[in-house]
Amino acid sequence: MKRSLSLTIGASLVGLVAVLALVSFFWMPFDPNHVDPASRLLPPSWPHIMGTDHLGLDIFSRILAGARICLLVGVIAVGIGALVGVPLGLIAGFAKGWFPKFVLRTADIIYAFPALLLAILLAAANGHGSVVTAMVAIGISSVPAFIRVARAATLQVVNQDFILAARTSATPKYTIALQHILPNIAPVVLVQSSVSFGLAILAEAALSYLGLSAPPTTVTWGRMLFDAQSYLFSDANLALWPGLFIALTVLGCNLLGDGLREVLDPRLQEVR
Amino acid sequence: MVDTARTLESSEPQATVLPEYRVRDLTRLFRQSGTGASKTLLAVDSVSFEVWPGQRLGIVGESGSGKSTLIRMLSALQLPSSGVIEFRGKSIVGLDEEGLSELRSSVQLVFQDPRSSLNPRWRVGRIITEPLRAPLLRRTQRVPLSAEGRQARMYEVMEKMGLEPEMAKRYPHEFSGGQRQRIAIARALAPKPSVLIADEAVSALDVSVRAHVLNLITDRVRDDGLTLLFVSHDLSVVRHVCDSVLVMKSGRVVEAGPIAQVYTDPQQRYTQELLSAVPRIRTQFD
Amino acid sequence: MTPLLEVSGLNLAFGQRRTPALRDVSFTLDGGQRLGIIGESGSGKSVTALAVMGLLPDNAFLSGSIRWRGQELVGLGDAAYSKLRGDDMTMVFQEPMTALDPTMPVGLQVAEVLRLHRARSKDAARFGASAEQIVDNARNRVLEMLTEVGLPDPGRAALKYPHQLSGGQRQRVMIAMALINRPALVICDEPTTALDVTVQAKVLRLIDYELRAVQAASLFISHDLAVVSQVCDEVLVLYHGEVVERGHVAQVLGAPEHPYTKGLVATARLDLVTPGERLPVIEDFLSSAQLAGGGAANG
Repeated sequence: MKRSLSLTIGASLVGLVAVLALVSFFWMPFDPNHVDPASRLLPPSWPHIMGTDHLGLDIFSRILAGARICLLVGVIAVGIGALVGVPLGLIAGFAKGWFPKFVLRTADIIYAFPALLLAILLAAANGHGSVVTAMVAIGISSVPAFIRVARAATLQVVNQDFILAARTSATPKYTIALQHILPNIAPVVLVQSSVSFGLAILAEAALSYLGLSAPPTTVTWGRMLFDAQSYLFSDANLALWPGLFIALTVLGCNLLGDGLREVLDPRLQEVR
Repeated sequence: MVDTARTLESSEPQATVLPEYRVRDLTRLFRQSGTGASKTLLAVDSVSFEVWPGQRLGIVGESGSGKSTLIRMLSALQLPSSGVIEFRGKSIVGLDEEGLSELRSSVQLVFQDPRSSLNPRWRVGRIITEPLRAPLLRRTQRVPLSAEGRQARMYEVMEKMGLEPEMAKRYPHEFSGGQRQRIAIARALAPKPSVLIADEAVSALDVSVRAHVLNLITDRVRDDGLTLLFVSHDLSVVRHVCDSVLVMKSGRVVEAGPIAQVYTDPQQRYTQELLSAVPRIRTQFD
Repeated sequence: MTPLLEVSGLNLAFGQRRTPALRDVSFTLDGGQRLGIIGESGSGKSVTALAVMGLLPDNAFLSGSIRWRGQELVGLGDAAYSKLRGDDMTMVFQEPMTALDPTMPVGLQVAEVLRLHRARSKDAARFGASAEQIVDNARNRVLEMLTEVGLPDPGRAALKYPHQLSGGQRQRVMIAMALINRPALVICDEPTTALDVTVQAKVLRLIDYELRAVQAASLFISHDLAVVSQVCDEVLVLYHGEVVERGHVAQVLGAPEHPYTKGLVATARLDLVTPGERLPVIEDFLSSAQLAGGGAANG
């Protein structure tokens, strides 16, 4: 395996968030929803190492708890995007006839809808916004990117002679798709996943901020930012921590994507 | 047009034997996109010929002469625009995969560029046994059905191609061009085909490696009694492995006949050009 | 008199494991002389060309000496090198499709080479030529060059993009680019390997003619002895990164001394073998010790 600096940094940042989320299940210094008016708006100090917010909630505990939602949203949204987008993109690149065109036009239409609008629609249909509606909205809006990436990669693979060789040995189409094409487009799908992961986290933060995602009792980094806005000029501390963690996570995802691209690019594999 | 009859006089057997391939007026048009007016390109233009069992037919021409399109139609990877292709007496045009089982289990291809014809993410052993795992071929009962049988067949064809058994565990990019082409030929031979189609199979190889691969092909064709369709732009290579030849230009067959005759006494100017273009080592200097 | 190019004791290795690619390679090239470099893939012939052009990748470790008209090139900075490249020293690649810019008409690409190395130089400024005159001159020179390399309808061909030309035509464009600045050395790296035999014959004749017209020296790299013998006077045989034989083409190919060269010559003489008979292969000529011992390159 080749070494890549961006891969190392990216994986470390994403790993850090995963560790935070895991730790939150076993240990948090305070209950993230325990209101304590006596100790509100404290600067970073012991025992509140990141300070407290306007309700006296411990920010560090809330960052830990928020990491869960952050990762959950990323995983579910990317899961929806990849599970729906990759098969459709693969078929669109491999099949002939009207179906590929239909898939591509549909993808274009979904592309034109921002995740925000979808989230509003879903929240309206649901009666109120929730983490689930946000995740589904973000997931759906990431489908077109997966379709395009998978299709472009498939088009490159199907022109290779080993696909023809497989056809001359009567290898069935689904075997060709699953065993020949899928492993060869996996690297680009992986890269797209890490990029989409970052975008999903950003989108969830934006939806939380607008109140279209988690209810106030659920801790998310976007919600924390939302709560912090009235105190932005007096207690920047409140906005700093969730903002910093969102930025680091998204940066981590993008670096991870770049790193994977460097390591997995088949064109670089055969360099002597 | 040329009298294709001349090809066949020498090799025509008794009437009871069916030709492997019988091709009549085969034509393939391509619509060229891009320009507003729909231009068409005649890639293959009313080509007729027969291939008899055991024949070694060379198909010679430059790139764009239609030879690749022709063999893709012969291996049912592409549909003709019009014309007849019969494989062992039965038309194969427009059949579904089920109907092609006779063809699929008897005809195998070797491509020009072994970098593109071997899946980079598969191990060599899996590549070679791919044809043995196809359900359609398994139903014909002509391939070994057990895993042990598959493995035995794999080692058998690898040995015939001069590949070490341990190579089965490695990936294509670990091999040189000549070795990769031998892997591709081993895959083609695995289901014991009776017809081998080689599409510029030695053109991408170094001259010194080419000799080795040609020897292996010649050995297999002779020992296994294969029918060979050998596509190349190089007449000197075709002369070495084939007994008869079709010379193609712009989709048409311009000359056909026994290789010795065409090689020593080409009738068409185009064939003469092809022959004189083959670079020869200069050992005498002015 | 100093030779045009003098390579001595060149050693080259790649990567962290320092896989050796060239071992103690030495040769000289005089002005106008054509030297063929022959070997199989992995023998180090292409990296020799890249070393001379200063185009080796970052993970290459080069030692020894490459002198260009007496000037040492090993360790020369990239800025100084780029002045040399494209002006005095040019290259024709194997695959013109990847060597040409797919987004630019070929005429412009030829003009680009001319502009970079000529138009802004001394004479234009000295004679106070106007911008229009320079452009006109450049256009005429490009068309003249495209005509010379035998591109049909050069005026129209100049406006085409690489993918609209055939392989042979693209290679002609590459040759035009390589020769328009009248370089002293043209390195040809397998220039006809990707071409059909008939096109190859024409392109070889063109290279032969153009090199003579410009009186350029050439390093001509190929795995095909026949091709090299058509173009070159002298030939150098590389095997696993080492020079095993060098001499006049007629002598080396007519009476090869090293077993490897003997093998190469034998494999290239398809015409001497009765059809259907076993063709000689390199291994017939090398003892098993030689086969195992030469593991310099990852052939």
